[in-house]
Amino acid sequence: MSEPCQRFEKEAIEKLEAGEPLDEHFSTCPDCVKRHAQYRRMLEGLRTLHRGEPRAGWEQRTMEAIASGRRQARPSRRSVLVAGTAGLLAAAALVFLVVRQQPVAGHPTLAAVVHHRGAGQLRGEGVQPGDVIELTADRAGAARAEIRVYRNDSEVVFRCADGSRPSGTEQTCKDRDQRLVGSLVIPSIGVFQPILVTSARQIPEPTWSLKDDSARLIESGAAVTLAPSVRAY
Amino acid sequence: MFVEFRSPGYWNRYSLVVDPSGRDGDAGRSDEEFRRALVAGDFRAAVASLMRRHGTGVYRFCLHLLGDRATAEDVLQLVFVQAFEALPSYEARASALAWLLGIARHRCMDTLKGQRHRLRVVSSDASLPEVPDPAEGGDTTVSQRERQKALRECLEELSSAVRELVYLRFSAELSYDEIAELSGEQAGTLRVRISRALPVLRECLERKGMAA
Repeated sequence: MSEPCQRFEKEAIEKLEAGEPLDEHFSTCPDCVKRHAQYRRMLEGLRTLHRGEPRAGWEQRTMEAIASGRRQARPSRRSVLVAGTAGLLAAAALVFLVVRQQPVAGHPTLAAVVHHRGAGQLRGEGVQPGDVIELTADRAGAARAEIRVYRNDSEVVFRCADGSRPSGTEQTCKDRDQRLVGSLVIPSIGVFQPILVTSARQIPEPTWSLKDDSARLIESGAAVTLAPSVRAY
Repeated sequence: MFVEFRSPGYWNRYSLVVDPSGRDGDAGRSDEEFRRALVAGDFRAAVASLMRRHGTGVYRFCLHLLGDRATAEDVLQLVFVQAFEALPSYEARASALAWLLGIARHRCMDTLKGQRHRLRVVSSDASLPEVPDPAEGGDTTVSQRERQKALRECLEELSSAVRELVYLRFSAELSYDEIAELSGEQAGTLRVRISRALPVLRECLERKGMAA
């Protein structure tokens, strides 16, 4: 029994893909005709393999997002949860700061400014990974101070404390008199929450959760000052 | 002797000689509508045109990369918002779809990095529940489902780069010029890669008893 003709795979596929005509052999050779039919079925299978439609109304929601200047029309449940948690923590921290005796003199402040980096054709107005957050903290006389940035309430992506250096290569940290000045390149999308911790005592190490850390910091007698969160898409 | 033999059926849909856009005839009209709106400076009409024409394609691309419908839809909206913002500086390219998929790819990668998910390409669909295709009237047979399952398994045997190439060519139905623009590789190189990948897929399906 002879081997089936192999010419279809050796010659015809590339020609068809290049849009070139096939010679007569491919319309008369039974093996090639059969092979061609197999490929047609396979390609149709590939065409229908990836189905799915976005939910109805997505175009309207997108246009509404465009009209309102928002970068995301319908935040995911996760991002709503994160934003909500951050908001609650911010409110809780502020209330705590009001009702608790301040551990240090004056009022610590933390400012966050985002600089767009590598502005290109495809980027828009919003914050994106690669942009830089610059942080300036006034420790207001506190013996200990540390800037932290939490991502999505669940990990510490930046730390800047007295005499310490950030671990990341795209991060800076300087201690200038009463000010801590640091910067970080936004590594990914997410909600980035900068906080300034000031205390008269040793500041507890972070545990990766903003919620847990806030509780521990307050328990230790530290003050927590929040800057506006930065949301990167 | 050479004859102008253009086989009937699906292959011709993907052949540049038949349809350089790689899609049906409506595509040209729709992109023309987009370009007219763009020239007129009506960016909202332009992005609306892009959404009508390419929304589903961008969504499926995101779904293919992300493997999660809700996340894919979030990114889909983000892609078009970003496209709208970029329209004032838009430059004519091989196709608007390739441009959109370029944006989508970046945003999907950001999402994957953010979620610390392993990059999943075509294989991610394997974990998705079967969704009846409205075009088939819910009449997908068991043999069709088995064939799709086998096809997904066979795609797994390809490298992720080739899987994505196969996806872009035969599922997203991009032309080689469009894929070249998207990937930064030469169209001829991509064509050769496809020509080598298809027999691998065919042989795999045959081993699974699905090629006949």
